[in-house]
Amino acid sequence: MNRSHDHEMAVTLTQGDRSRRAFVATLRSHVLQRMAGELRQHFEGTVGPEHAKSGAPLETPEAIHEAMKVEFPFKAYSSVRTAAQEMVFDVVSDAVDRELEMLNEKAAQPAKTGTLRLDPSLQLPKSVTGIDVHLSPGSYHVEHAEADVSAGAVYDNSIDVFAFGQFGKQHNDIGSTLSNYLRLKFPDFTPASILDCGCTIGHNTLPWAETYPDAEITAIDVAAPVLRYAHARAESMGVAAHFKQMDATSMAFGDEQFDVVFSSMFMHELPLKHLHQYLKEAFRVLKPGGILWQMELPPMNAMPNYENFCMNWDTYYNNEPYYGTFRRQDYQQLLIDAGFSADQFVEATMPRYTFIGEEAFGEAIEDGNTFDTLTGRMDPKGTRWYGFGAWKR
Amino acid sequence: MKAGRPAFFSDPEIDRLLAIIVRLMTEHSVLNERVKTLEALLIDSGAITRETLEAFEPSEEQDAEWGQERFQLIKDVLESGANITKQ
Repeated sequence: MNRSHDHEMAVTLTQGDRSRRAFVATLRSHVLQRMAGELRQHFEGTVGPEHAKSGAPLETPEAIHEAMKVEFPFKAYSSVRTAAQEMVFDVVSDAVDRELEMLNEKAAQPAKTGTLRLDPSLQLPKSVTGIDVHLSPGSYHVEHAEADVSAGAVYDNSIDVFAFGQFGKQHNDIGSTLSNYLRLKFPDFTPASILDCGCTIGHNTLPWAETYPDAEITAIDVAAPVLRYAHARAESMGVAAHFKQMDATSMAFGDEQFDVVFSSMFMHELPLKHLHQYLKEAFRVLKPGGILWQMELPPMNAMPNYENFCMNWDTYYNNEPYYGTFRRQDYQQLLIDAGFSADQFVEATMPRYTFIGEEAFGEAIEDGNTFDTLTGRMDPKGTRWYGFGAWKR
Repeated sequence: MKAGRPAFFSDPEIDRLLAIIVRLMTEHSVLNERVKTLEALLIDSGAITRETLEAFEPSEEQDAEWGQERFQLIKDVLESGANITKQ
């Protein structure tokens, strides 16, 4: 029978499952490529010039949003995009529901290489429990049975539908790209311990073990179902990693434990207060000589107005209320506030490592940073990830 | 459309969306009956079983071709009589 993934936590797909997934992935791609393209044309050809002519040019992403949200193409784009987003989780849940009992049993098998430490006493932040993030029912944390992995399984299955393959074959491109950037850019840096914060199913944790095979890999998240799944997934892929249920804004680790603190698509889900707490914690647990290195959405001040308007769609309409505030911050100042020195700031825009390979990647990261329509977006023409962080000296 | 398109709801955009849904229902029904016909004929003839049907995975070529057809379907539906992406 046909399986959703190459690892043992994969689910068996019927012909109908595959057809539905393929269709919704195509629909997502259509919305984000073709419909978004038409929307841009409508702005550049009609809405923008009309406002400029009437003496009220649209000079901020908020002003563009106000002007566009009454336009039919924007309503159509948003309405279809919302329906497609809901369908992502809807169409992958069928197979997970059918096999949930078996998945939960598999996840409960004794570990061979890594570990899983859950903390049932951990209080989940209201910013997590109060929101179905990304319109995903139950988000990452809701449990439907004892020792449940369903939220992790749904997430793993949703990635290819959501990103129509743009996150790489093992959904690991972000982790692979950021870790290989460090390896190639700083060849003398050989981290012995790496921490991934807000790791969900560990898809961007495991590539660090590939890039730095001698390092000990630890990953934390507040949500138990995704951690159980992450652990079982890593075990079945033969990668040793230590998953712990822990809040990144208040870590149980001692000072100066890690050479790398990493996160991906994490900070933009945090309220500003938690973001500051997390970065202070990251600074505390880093060893001197270590680096905080994280994939995120590019900052608003580096991106053109229209791109910011496009990216802000998620904060208005995709249950990501903190995303807009995060992108408005000065990222370097955030790190200075957490204890890092201004002159130790590092940032980069990077092509996708698993898509273009070592040689082309190595050349591209010498070219300097580019902030344009491909930066931080999912585009088959060539997404560019944005990373920032700082050395702790 | 020459001489305009009649609208019945307070907001004509609702008429345009309904047109899209109706178009989609038509396609869905036609396809559903076509598939049921093929399945019945093939299972009756012994050419396939329910199990081989569920286990079928398209080849790379089929996958690419069907992917193009999915894009075409989305385009046809969303840009049918009531073009959703154009004012």
